Amino acid sequence: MELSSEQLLQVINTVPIFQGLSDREKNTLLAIVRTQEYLPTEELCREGDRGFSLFIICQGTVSIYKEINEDVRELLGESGVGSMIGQVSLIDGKPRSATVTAKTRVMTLECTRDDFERLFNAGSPFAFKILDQISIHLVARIRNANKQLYSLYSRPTETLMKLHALCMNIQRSISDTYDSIEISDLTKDDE
Amino acid sequence: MGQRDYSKLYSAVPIFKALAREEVDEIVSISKMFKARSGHVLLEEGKSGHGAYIIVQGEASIHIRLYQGDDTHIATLGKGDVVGEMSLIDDAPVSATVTTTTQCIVLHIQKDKFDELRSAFRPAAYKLLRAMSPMLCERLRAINERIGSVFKEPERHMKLMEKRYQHLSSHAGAVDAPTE
Repeated sequence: MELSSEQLLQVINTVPIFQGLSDREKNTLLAIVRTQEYLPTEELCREGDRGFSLFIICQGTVSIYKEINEDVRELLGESGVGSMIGQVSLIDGKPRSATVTAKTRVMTLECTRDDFERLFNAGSPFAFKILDQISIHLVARIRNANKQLYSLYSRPTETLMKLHALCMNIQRSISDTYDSIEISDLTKDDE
Repeated sequence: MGQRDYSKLYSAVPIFKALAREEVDEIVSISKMFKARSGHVLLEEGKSGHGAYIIVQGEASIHIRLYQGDDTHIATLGKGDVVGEMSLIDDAPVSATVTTTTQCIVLHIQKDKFDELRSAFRPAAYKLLRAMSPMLCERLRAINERIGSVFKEPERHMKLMEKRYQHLSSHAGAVDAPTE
């Protein structure tokens, strides 16, 4: 789906982080960012990948996962319209720290690291506002992660239950693998 | 201060390297340099923050409180390290206690004045934020890794949690800390 610039403007007007930008700033923004659509279950980015763009969610909801091992991923949370994905990689240029997939049909605006760099060095208020948002968001995530770490150690019963469930899951996936090996071995023997 | 020695300043405060001289002047004008004895509390968990502190000389240590009086050492800080920068960004209470462990020289960037520069869209303020943001990313990655390790090595952590359980059950009425 290709959106006209008026439609795009309408979309970004509903996204909180663009509020307070002047029309000129919005047009600068739309001239540099790319729109992209994702279908449910499609990946925006994968943990460990080296992609440094910032995604701003304009429509839909995404799921954020931490890869535990090949078969198990833990859902960290969901994000909706107005949230940003990939701020950390945009700032530090390190690989993605989580996998993000579309939960519903999703539309994003994508701003590359180079675009951001150029705007920032030119003293663009848009880049400053994005940095403001990124900083606020990062700090909120640090405070939240601190809380999670605190509760993992301060609520051991709950943590034990989670770990127990995880061990059961891993055991299950190991025995699944074992079963499938046996089956394929049997088929080989038949040949 | 007469003529400012920028090369000295740039090497004492590495984060200033992202700023031009006039921008350094702007940040220095909203900062205070002071000496602290060993054991001085720069930041106290739960209190409101008053800005960022840069260790120009000496060492300090970061601790966070766990439920029932346990403290966990998080990191040791040295020359050029920055703490309290999160208070330049939001108004939430300080998230860890920072105490000097030697005599220190500290540069304090004052929050209220930094906020003024930021709302005036001064490049100096944003360049400083930009220079500090990789440290925030680093911190976030480190905490997430620590959380991730609990789930990546479930068996080792089940033993650890059993110990925590025993510790808490001998010290508290209820074992788990209440949810907020």
